[in-house]
Formats: sequence, C-alpha cells, structure tokens
Amino acid sequence: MQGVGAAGAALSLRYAAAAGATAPAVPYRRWEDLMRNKWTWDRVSRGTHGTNCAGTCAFNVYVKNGIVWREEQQGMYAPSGHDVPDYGPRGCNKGLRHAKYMYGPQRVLYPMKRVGARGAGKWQRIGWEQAAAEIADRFLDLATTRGPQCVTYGSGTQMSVKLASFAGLARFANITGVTVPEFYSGVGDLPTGVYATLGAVYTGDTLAAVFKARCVLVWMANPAVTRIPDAHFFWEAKYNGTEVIAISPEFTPTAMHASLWANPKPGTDIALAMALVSVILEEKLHAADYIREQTDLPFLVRLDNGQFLRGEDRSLVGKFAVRDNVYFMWDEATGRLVQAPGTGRADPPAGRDRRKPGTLALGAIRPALEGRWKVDTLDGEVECTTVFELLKRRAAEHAPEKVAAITGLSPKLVRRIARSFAAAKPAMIYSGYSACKWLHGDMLQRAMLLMLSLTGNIGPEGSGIQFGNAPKARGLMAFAFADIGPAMRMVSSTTWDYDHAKLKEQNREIYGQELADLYDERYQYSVRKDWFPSYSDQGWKMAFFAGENAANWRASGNQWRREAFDKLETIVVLTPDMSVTAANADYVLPIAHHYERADLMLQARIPYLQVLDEAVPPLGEAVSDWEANRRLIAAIARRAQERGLPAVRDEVDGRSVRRDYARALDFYTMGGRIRGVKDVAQYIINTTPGLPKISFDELAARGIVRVEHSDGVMWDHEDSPYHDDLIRSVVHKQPYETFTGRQQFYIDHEWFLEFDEQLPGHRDPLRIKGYPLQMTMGHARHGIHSMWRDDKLLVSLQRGEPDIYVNPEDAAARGVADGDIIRVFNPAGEFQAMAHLSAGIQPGMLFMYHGWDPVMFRGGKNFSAVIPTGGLIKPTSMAGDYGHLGYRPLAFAPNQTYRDFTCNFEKAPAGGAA
Amino acid sequence: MSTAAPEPATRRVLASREPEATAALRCQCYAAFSELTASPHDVDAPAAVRARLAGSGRALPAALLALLEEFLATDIEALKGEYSGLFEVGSQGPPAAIREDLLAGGRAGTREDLVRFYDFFGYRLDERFAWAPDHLSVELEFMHFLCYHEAADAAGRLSWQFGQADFAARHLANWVPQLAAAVAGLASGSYYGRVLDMLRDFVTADLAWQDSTISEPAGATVDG
Ligand code: SF4
Repeated sequence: MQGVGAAGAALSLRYAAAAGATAPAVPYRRWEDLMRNKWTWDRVSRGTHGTNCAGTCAFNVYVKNGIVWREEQQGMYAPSGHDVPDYGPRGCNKGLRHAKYMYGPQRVLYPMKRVGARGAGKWQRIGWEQAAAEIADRFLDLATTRGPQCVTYGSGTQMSVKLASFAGLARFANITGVTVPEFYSGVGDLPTGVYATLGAVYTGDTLAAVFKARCVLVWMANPAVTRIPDAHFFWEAKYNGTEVIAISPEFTPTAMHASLWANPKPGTDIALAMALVSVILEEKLHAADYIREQTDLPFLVRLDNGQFLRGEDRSLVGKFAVRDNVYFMWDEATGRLVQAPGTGRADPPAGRDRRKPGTLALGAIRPALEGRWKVDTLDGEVECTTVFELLKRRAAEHAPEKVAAITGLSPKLVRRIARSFAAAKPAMIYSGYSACKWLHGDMLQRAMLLMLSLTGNIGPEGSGIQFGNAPKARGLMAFAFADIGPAMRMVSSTTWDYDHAKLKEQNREIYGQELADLYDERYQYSVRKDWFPSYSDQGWKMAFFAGENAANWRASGNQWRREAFDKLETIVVLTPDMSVTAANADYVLPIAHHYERADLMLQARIPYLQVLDEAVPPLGEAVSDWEANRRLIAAIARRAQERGLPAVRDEVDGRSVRRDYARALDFYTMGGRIRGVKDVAQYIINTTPGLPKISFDELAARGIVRVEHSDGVMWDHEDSPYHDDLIRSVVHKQPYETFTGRQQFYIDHEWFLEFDEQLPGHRDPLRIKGYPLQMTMGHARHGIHSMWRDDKLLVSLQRGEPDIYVNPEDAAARGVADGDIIRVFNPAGEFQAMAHLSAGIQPGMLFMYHGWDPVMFRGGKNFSAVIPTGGLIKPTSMAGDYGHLGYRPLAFAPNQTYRDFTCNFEKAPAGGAA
Repeated sequence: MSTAAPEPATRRVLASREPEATAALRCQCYAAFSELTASPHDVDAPAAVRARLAGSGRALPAALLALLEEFLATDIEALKGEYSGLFEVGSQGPPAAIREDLLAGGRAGTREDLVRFYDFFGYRLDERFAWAPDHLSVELEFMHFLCYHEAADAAGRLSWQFGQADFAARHLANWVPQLAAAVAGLASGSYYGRVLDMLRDFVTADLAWQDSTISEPAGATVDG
C-alpha cells in the first residue's frame, strides 16, 4: 500500500493495511490510552493437543489479530453412567502453555537445508519447492536403483494419535514403498505379554472404569504425573472406598496419594507378581469355574516333553485333519479325557480370525484343575498333568517368603496385598507401558494377567489389565489403501535398528559374547524362517522422520547415532519444533503446530471424538503433515515425469507391486478427490465404526462429540470404535484369538520351553559388571516426551536443567550433595545432570524423568548415551510359527528394551562437561 | 470533604520538533530500515529499495544511502543466506532472533503491547504476517507509518508524535541494541551486522531527539 502525505512523506506498507489515514478515534496521549480499548476476541476455535498424552482434552482457543493468545478448558463432558464421575476437568500444565510455546524460539518456521557439516548448526532457509524437488530426486535415485525399502518413513506417537495425518503418512508409504519402522515396539510400548495371553493387545476401558474397581494396583505407572486429566478417577475411587495400591520402586506422586505403597527393588516385579499368584493359589482364593472355562489352566500337558497334549499326539487323523490345535482336558464328571471345547479349528488362527467356530462353554464337562493321568498317544503311554498344576509349582517357587530377598518386600505385606486383591470384586491392574521396557516385561504382563484371571477379573466392569485401548479406526487404513490396495512395508523399529546399528556388537561389549551370539543366532533364524520380516537387504540410505524425535530416546543412542543415523545419506525431518533429530538432519520441513491444523483425535480413555482445528494459519511456511506429504509426493511425481522414469516392479512380502512414481500424486489425492486434510478426516469419520456421522465442520464447531455405544465405562459393544475382543470371549464364550483359543498362560513353543518361559517366572534384571546402580526412567509431568520439555516456564518449575533422582546414601558415598552436577556413566557412554537427592529413591538405583533433549544437558548428551539395550532382543520375542505368535504389526514384535542396565555416577569434574 | 484530583501534568511537543521538516525524512528512514531488515525470502526487498532510490530516497542520510546501494549491488542469494542463517533458522532457534518477543526472552505482554499499539493506530497486519507483530521489520514499518501520519495529519499530529515516542521507548530502543550486539558477536562486519549497527545508532539517536522535542512533566516517565 502506498500513499503520499501532505508534507511529502510517502507511505509504503508491505505487512499491513492502514485502516485510518487520520488520527485515532480517541486521541493518544499516554501509553495507558492503549489499555482503554476493550480486548476482544476475533474468534474462539476448538482444539486440543495432538500429542500422545492420551488426554485429548477439549480446549477453546482464543484468537485476536491472527494470534492465539490463550487457551481454556472447554470441559463439557458427560459421565459414563449415573454412578461414576464425569471426565472433566481435563487439561494439564503443558496444554495450558501451548499458546505461548507455539511462538517460541524452537519453532521451525521455514524449510531448512543444512549448509555446514551435519549437526554443526549451519542452516539456510529454502523454499518448499526447492526442498521438495531435492528430496524427491534423492528418493527417486534410491527407489529406482536399490528399491524403496532402503528409505524409511519413521513416525512416532505424536503422529499416530492424529488420525488424518497418520492416514496420510500411511498412504504416502503405501504408494512409495518406503519401509515404515513402527514405533510402538520401538519405544518399548507394545504389550506383547498381553497379546501372547489374550490374543488381543490393546486392552483397556475408559478411565471411568477405575471408579468401578474395588481394588486397583497401579503398577509400572504413575498417573498422577502422566495422566493428569484422568488421575482424578483414582482419587475419587479412593474416596469411594476403593483400595488404590501403588507399586513402584520409587516414591512417586501417585504413591503419595495411594492407599498403600509397595516398593519392590527395580526389575523384580515378576517375582512380586508371581508371589501374589502364589498366595492366591496357596490360600485357594482363585475363581475355579472362571479359569476352567476361560483359560488353558485345565489343559493337559505332557510331562515327557512339556508340550500340550494335542490331537496330533493322539491319532494320525488328528495329525492331518485338525493339525495341532486340538487340546484336551480331564473331565471329572465322566473321568475321561475330552477335547477342550472351542479347540480344533482347521487352521491355526491368523490374526483376527472371525471364522472361529465353537464355544468356550463347558456344558456338562467339569475340567479337572489338578491331577495326573496316563494318556495313550502315538508315542505310547504318556503321563500328563494340567497347566494349573504346573503353575502351582511355578508359583510356589515364588512364595513371598522365598522371593523376599529378591523383591525386598516383607512377605506379610505381599500376602496382605494378595488377599485384598483377591477379595475385591472387581479388582484391576492399571499398568503403564513401563512394563514393556524390561527385557522380560512380557512375563510380567503374563503374571499380572494370571493374578487377574485367577480371581475372575478379566471381563467384568472395573477389572482387567488397563493399557490404553486403540481405536479400530478402520477408516484410517482404508484410506491408506483406498484405490491402490495394501503394498506397505512395516517392520518393528527394534528389528530395523538391530539390522542397521550393529547392535550385536554392543550386546557383546556390554553383556558378553555368549548372550550376543545366542540372541543373534535366534534372531537370524527367525528372520530366515520368515517369522519376522526384514527389508534390510538394501541397507538404510535415507530416512524421513515425522512426529518423532528418534535421536532423543533411542536405546543404544550412541551406537545408533554412530552406526546407523549418522551414516544415512539423506535425513529429512518434518517437525513443528527443533530437536536433536532435526538438528542433525539434512532437511527440516516446518509442520503446523496443534492450533494450526485440522485433524481428529480419538483416545480410549474418554468416549469422545475430539477435533483439532486451525485456529490460526500455520506460522511462517509451516503446513500440515498431510500437505507436507502432498508436496513431497507431488515433487516425486513431477521429477519422475521430468526424468522420464518408467514404473518399477517392487515385491512386498511375496506380492508383486507396480510403482508408477509419475502418477504418485494422483494416487495420493485419489485423482484429486481429496483436496486437503479435512477431506481425509471426513473420510475417516464416514468409514470408521462407532463415530457419529457428522461433517468435519460441525465437529469443529462443537469440539467434541460422544462416540457411539459408550453408555458404560467399558468398550463392550461390537460397534463401538474400540476393540472388545475379551467381551466376546468372557460374555459370549467365543474362543480367544490365541493358539489355544483360551486365555493362554502356558506357551509350549520350543523356544519358550528352552528358556523356561512356558510360564512366567522371575529373572534377575541384567546388570553391567562393575556398575552397581539400576537406572530407570518415567514419563514427566512437565513434558510429553520431548515436547514442551524446553518450555521456559515449565523448566523453571523444575530445577532449571535436567535432573536425576539419587538416593542420599548413594550420593553421600560419592561425596555428592543435592544440586551438584554428576557424571552418570557406564561402558556405553555418559551424560551429566543435576543430582536431585531424594529419600524416595531406593539405594542402588537412579531415576530420571525422560524427554529432555541432549542440547539441554551439559556436554550435549542425554540419558540415551548410557542405555545400551537396543540389541537386547530375547529369543522368545522373535518366536513364530506358533498359532498367534509370529510377527503381527502393532501386536507381536520385540520391544526395544530400555531397562536391564546399570551405571554409576560421580561428581562431575569442575568446569562441567567437555 | 472531597477534593478533585489534580489534572495530570500533560506532555507537550516543543516547537523545536518542526514536524514539517522532520517527519517526512524520518518516515523515509524508518521505511528504508524496514526494507533492509525484511526477510529477502518473504519480501521483494530489492524492488522496494530500487523504488526508494528512484524516488525521494536520495534525500536519505549518506550512510544509509550507501547501505541501500550496497544492498542492491549484493547478490540476493548471498543476502538470503546471510539473513536466514542469522535471523530465521538454527539448530536451537535462530542464532539472533529478529523478533522482539524471542530476543527479549518472552517477556510477558510484549506482543500484547505491540498489538495494542497497532490496533489503536489502525495498523492491521496482513494474515500472512499476523503471527509476527514483533518482527523488527514490522516494528520499523509501524514507526514509518506513525511518522507518515505525523507529516500528513496536522490536526491529529499530537497522537502520532506521542505514539512514536512511546513505541520507540517501549520497543525498538529496548531491543535493537541487544540484537545489534548479538549480530556483532556472530557476524561482525557482515552486511546485516552493519545494518543493525546503523539501526541501533539511528533508533537511539531518534529516541533521544524525540525526548528532546517532547517536554515531560517532572517525575513522569514515558512508561507511565
Ligand atoms: S497436553 Fe494432553 S493432557 Fe495436557 S491439556 Fe493437552 S490434551 Fe490434555
């Protein structure tokens, strides 16, 4: 805008339009005059924070002059029934900082290209077109020579919770053929023990279900810190008479409010769980009828080889006709061997087998739980017993008195907890994902499920193991595959890292040759046998990272950086905020933050569909993930056309796929039918069961809408948006999706037998010789993973810099005082942090809240430097060819281990880190 | 017994300000500085500077004129690289943030104060730039806008004059020296380093001059 004033001055504006060419309506005399104008909002939008806090709290977002100034909890939640509290108030300290944080210095506002050495901090702003074209060329070079599998598209929990964005990413991967290393197992969050036992991995109800429990064990979890919007259910339940028992080695804020706190030594939770099982069995507190029908505990096991007695053992007909999934019980009513109802399908179940015939209902059969019988088999007469008998024996080895030295807990306390738990109807275990991060976390989950099952606490309202349920979100994958079919490569991040970061070498250095060789031999065998996929044959050359900050948290961080990440030819990070991963990339692409984008959020903790809406346009040149991928794929298509690249043949899991990159944009947008992320969101709304069929705009106007079939606290309706597999079995008596068709506590895969994991049992956590302190970590109050961790106000509410919790005795022995900077070290590496002395930490352990980025630490290294566990892939986690066991994306894959290591500390040398 | 509160002593603009003689030139100086500190990625700064030099820009002080000419003579890609590397992108945010809110460490109220100034005087940012009311180039353009109206609007002149003094004192003079020092520490002698040095001197001198042409009642502060 230009103008010429009376005195010869020329007005030339490029940022603004000038409303008034004359003086302001009210004369300006002093600064206070500015404050006389009423502050009004131009717009109030609905929104939340699209990060994996599991909160999905509804917020109003207040906008004036194109700026978000504040947010406020929207809070219009109804309860799930008249006898439970509602879901409000929802919100947390991080969410209420976002309007400030989104304008912070960490924001990525423009496409950036590295101009110095990687990680040297020299960047240049470039345009989207240049960035997309250069990235597309690198991708096409690799895809057409080595194949697209050497390019990965990694994403994290921040991506997965935004349904439309994730659908876009999945579609991008499906079209291009890049490998998607899934993060669920990669961050050590996959409840494989739950899957192995129940054939369903994401069990859990709304958080209101906590209120229905009469006893809740809060185990491997710290909801007072990590589930701020939902923690009230625990305390309301407690005021209502529920016994809330916190189990954690350290005195957590949850323990502080609990009815009772038990503090086992770190890594001894399986011993504790089995001790609780032993009391339940010893004192006959178990629900016999329940376990007879629902579990494999009455199934017969051959004592000569430890395997289930199966149809194939009994007859040649059995061998060929019903293969190996006919199981037997001893019927006390008739004194005869009988086939277990619901077993004997023609094929082992593959995934979610809806064709399963049969019923768990026992009819007139009364299966024996105890006893020994001689049974005729093709091998002659074989003595058999029940799983229940074997369990009793295993549990007795873990009697509270026997494991007291392991757990450090008084047998009296353990017995008291077991009795409370068994007497409470219903009882629940609220477990966090921490369990999955231990090498033998699967056995802990199997033991927890034993406690629940033995007491009849899998199925009823207010019971069960409460991990987060996952939305069926069928629309999400339907969108990814629409018009083109599934041609996507998905592997576990854990196995991908093992293949590319020389983690066998680190296993050898840290845990010894024997373990390294054994684990590697089984790993390679499993891959050779196709039990688990590997797309690693062409190496790892290029990586996209979106919604994840991989270099922050990877186990074996130093090794992964050195051997895999730093060796990549091209690294592209799509992110709203700078991080260690972005700082070491070649290209960083700016992504819209929570209040600058449209999307859908669905979390099982609350029965609401939540909107993310664009309160303001994305800052700078940021765009939504959907749009970023569209620009990338448009560039791939354009460059493929310009380079005259023909379609290439690709092979995915034995299927031949034709990849015509010149048409990639057309595929991505479904021939132009999908014009933006709101269309993706609408597609998902329209095609996902249980979501109210409303328009995205209406959802945006309302903020939240209740999902269908969510009257109660459980996800017990087939057509609700969440899984309800257990209800199908507990209530409707359909067999479980396990090999045995039951809650399967006994696993007779040869590797499980070889490693004595057929039933859960205690294992000493792995230690590094000469390093006495077991280090554990947890989610933080002041950040969601690395997001908001660097917010100035939130940092000021802590110690101002990363701190690590240390027992005062351990500190005194090393001459360390509270507030000193200490050097934490082991053979894998070291980092420095402030010692936070706390009597709530046991001697012999260190505890740290996670998420701090390396740049916040003196010396630029974070905790990841001392976690050497990336290669700890225990053989049984790679088992396959056994009914439901074998690779199942997002269900059965080896977790990356993040515990099972030790370290030491000393006062940091004066002058700080090098 | 009640007594009426005494009238606050009011500021006065002194005759020595001579707005007819000064406002247009200052208006032009602020515009030129706004152009030089604009992101060459977002704004076609060469075209703007060219237009200025072709117009009345020749009346600008010689040193500023020289910077404008140097700007035109420098490869725009090199300027883009220097600008973005200093002010826009970095591993931990831009090395020298060119936004007041960031440089001043997120001081509470900085952006609100800016928006209140802009709103009061009818300066409405385009949607594309609305998120950054604290960008140096925007603040300088606002000063240009105020000076323009001081020159053009004789009737309402006092408002524009007081607005400038308060805005410069509360914002530009508060952080431009800090930004200039940051850039000097990172890229002393660079083109943008010299722009910032000159801007710092200009803003400081201009504020002092404004203070000298506005009388303050004893004990009062511009802050109020
Ligand atoms: S960050 Fe998560 S828990 Fe916190 S207010 Fe936002 S949505 Fe709720």
